Amino acid sequence: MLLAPSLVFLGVFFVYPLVQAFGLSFLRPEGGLTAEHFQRMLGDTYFRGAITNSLLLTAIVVPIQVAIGLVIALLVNSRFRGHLWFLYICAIPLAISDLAAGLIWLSVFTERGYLNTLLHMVGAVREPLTYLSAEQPVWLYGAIIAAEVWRATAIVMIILLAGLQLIPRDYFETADVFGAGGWRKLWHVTLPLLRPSLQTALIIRTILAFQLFATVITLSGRQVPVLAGEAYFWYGLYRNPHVASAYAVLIMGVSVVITWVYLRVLRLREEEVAGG
Amino acid sequence: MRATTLVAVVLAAILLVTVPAAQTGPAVEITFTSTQFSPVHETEWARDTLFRAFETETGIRVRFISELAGPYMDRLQAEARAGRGSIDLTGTLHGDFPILVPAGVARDMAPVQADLARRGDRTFFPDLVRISQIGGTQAYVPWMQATYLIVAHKRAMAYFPRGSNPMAMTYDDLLEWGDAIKAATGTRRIGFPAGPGGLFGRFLHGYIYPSFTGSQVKRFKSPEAVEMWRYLRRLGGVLHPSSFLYSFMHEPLLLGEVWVAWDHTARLLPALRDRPDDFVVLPSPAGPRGRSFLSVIVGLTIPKTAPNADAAARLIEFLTRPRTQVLTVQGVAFFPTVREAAGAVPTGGMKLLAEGVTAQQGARDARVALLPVGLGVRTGEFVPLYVDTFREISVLGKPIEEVLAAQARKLEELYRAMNAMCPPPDPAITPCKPD
Amino acid sequence: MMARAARTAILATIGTLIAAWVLFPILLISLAAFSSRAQLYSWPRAIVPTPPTLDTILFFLRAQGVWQSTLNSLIVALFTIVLAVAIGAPAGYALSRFRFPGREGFRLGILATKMFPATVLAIPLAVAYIRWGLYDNLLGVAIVHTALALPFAIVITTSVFVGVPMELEEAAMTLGCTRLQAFLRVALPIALPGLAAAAIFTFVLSWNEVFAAAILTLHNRTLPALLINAVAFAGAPLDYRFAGGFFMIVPALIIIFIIRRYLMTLWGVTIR
Repeated sequence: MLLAPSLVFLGVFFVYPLVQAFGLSFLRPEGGLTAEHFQRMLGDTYFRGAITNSLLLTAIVVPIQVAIGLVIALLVNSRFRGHLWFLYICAIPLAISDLAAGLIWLSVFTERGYLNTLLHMVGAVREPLTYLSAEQPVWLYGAIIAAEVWRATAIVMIILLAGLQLIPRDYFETADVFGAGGWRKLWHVTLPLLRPSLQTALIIRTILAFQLFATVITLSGRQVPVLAGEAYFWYGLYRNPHVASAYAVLIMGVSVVITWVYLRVLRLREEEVAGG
Repeated sequence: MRATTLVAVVLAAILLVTVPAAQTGPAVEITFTSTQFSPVHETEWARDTLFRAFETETGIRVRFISELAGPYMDRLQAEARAGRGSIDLTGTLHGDFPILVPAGVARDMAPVQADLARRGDRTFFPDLVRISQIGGTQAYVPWMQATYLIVAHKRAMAYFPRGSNPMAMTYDDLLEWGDAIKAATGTRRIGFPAGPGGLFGRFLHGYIYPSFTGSQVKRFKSPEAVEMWRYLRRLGGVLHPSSFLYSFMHEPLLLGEVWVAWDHTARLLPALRDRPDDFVVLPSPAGPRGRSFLSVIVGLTIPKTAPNADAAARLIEFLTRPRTQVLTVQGVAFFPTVREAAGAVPTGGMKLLAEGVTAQQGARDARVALLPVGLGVRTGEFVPLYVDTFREISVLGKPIEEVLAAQARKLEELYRAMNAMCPPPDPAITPCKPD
Repeated sequence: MMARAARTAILATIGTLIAAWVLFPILLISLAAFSSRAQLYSWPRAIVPTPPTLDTILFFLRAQGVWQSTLNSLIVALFTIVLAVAIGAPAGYALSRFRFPGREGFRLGILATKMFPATVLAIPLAVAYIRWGLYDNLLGVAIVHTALALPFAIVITTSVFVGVPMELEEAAMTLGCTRLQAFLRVALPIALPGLAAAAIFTFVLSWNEVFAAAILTLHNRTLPALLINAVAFAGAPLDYRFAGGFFMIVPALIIIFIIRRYLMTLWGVTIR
């Protein structure tokens, strides 16, 4: 009844494309099953870089974001003076897209950008240095990581903050009664109670970090190939929706695996905590 | 009262009928379709500047339609099949004509070409007229062309190898030039548009490949090609690292990030327009097998089913007039196909480019290469094959022969699947096959 | 006492540093957007443009297709809001009021859809759209954005309606209203702020979405699609890029400022 529109809508515009993605990637244009699209994807010169970079960037960015997000959430939750304004400021990147974040950090790292300008002002460089080049992998990847951490930490922060606010004050007061200091309170009380929020934040952020696209293109072109970027190029530049779908299917598959892993690992730990 | 109303109605009726009739347009209208001038400002320029001048002079109105390649070709072929059509004149890239000729669309333009020659006020570049011969007839009258050139900042000229002529440089000169700049300034100032939207692939298949091997496809993995790739590895040492971010070279030139840049004329133009006194335009380099360059030719043909061939011929005459060709250069940065026009471009960045185009076209060792044709829906796979080869060899450092063998297999498969002919300067073999 | 003061000081310092880290890049892009092209190209460069100029932003806005694509983005966002609320609110209402078999399944399904964002949906939909005639169509983009926003819309509206006591509607019904009238006259007004917040969330999501918009449009581009194309393929000059980045974040910043009080309920709620 009331649910019907949602079900229908999602059925057509969610389930159908998912199925179609498989179809496109496994079918020949003229008909017939084939693995050639996946073979092309796997044999492409950018493939190995794309999957490595997507995994690498995710593995680096997500832990940093969770750490910083947690710090911010705890700070806000401690209700120090001005914590509301602090929250508002830290929430600003929520409204910033990965494309805008890429452009913002481009203004910093491009040759005529603010980093070189600052260095020049303090006398550290005379000629502008090139950062966004494959010859400077630390700087290149660093710029991407900086942009993505800067932008998406707010998402983690909001989720964790919401989780923190759900924890009844009694737990903290009990811990205080038992004489637990700041760190122990954090480790033994807060974090375990935050586990559901952490799990959600990790799942959402990992999947989205894995699909990072516009930031990478803006800062590196194709010097840092990523899976979503390759899908974009295969569709838009090479005009081959089949290989592009193969990339989409791969992204989907890895996302499912990641979710499954998180659910298993974080659930197991919960059982340990309960039993131990 | 009724009589007055009647008179009023009759007067109104007369006015309604006669006024519009008196305002009918010129007696003749022709339809001109093209794949060119598709950006809005170019279409507007064509209508407001180009065709209006023609209409003022001849009274013939031009109905100009710019279409995407797909619908454009479909329409022409449909008219040819029907034996009847509405299109009087059509203009498109050379690569479309090998399809239009056998489809019975393109008329033999030799008589029109002869008429133009008789006028004595324009000399077409002979290479271009020769290339327009397809299937035994002259498929089109060359209308405009674009190409890719080198633009250098004047301060870079001090480092150009002594004893060599910049207007006739070789690839070795280019490398020496880059080395000299690097030795003197510690920076790498040679730039190529090797970013995702850049045309570096064109350099690889249309410029350096034929200059070293004499072919684009056939000698893809020949020993000369291996030599060429070794050269490219060395050239990489003097390329600005941000080349992999560049799509259009005008900005790096204006920024001074790059002092010597290779790119399409349209993508170099903004730098030359802005600061014409800072730059020089040089023909592309020559290799052991000549000075190869791509000519992107747009040609005009009168379809066999054209309702008004004479009016169409008059438009061709107008468009290939040197003065109009100068106008075209200024309007849309497409360069002339007649020698007289190149010299007549007013001073400025455009003139530099026009002269560069002419110099490249007229070089003694010039070898015109053309864009690959006949690859249909898989046309987009050609350039990436070359760019990927560059990435594997120069960026990832894989062994040259191995990479060439693998890529040559893909090239062969592509050409076999589409049964396409080799692009000039390769010999005209179908399907094309790397040796 | 000392420990407390020290602790507060440390917290305040960390807080200030983090806040500065968030604000500084925004300041930089604003400076860049108000620098002239000559200033952006020069070396050595000044950080603060003297004098600041509107030329760069105007150049961007007047550049081909920019103004049109901004309008397109707005149109798509509005379509998305309408669709997402129209489709999602009923579902949210149902989830908040009724217990029915498959309820948990439906909720889990909603959660699962968050796992498949634009990169997976866009390409197969592009092919389908070409068949259905929806390609290069703003409505088509809005539909995809709705699909992305719907999970959030449903969750938000569910909790919004949970917050509207059933008793109020029941009271209205005993007074003679039909269920629909009770909904419209009693529940809806109370839920309106929450729904507005949901609408704003949807707006930001649609305004910022890049991948699907870039894949699904050719001539009728949205602003992010235009920008990514300009950056990746069309060699947009530096001033264009910085003005573009600035222009993209300004509406978002304004919106965040306006709805700052709802932030917690909004984003926090979406995860439960």
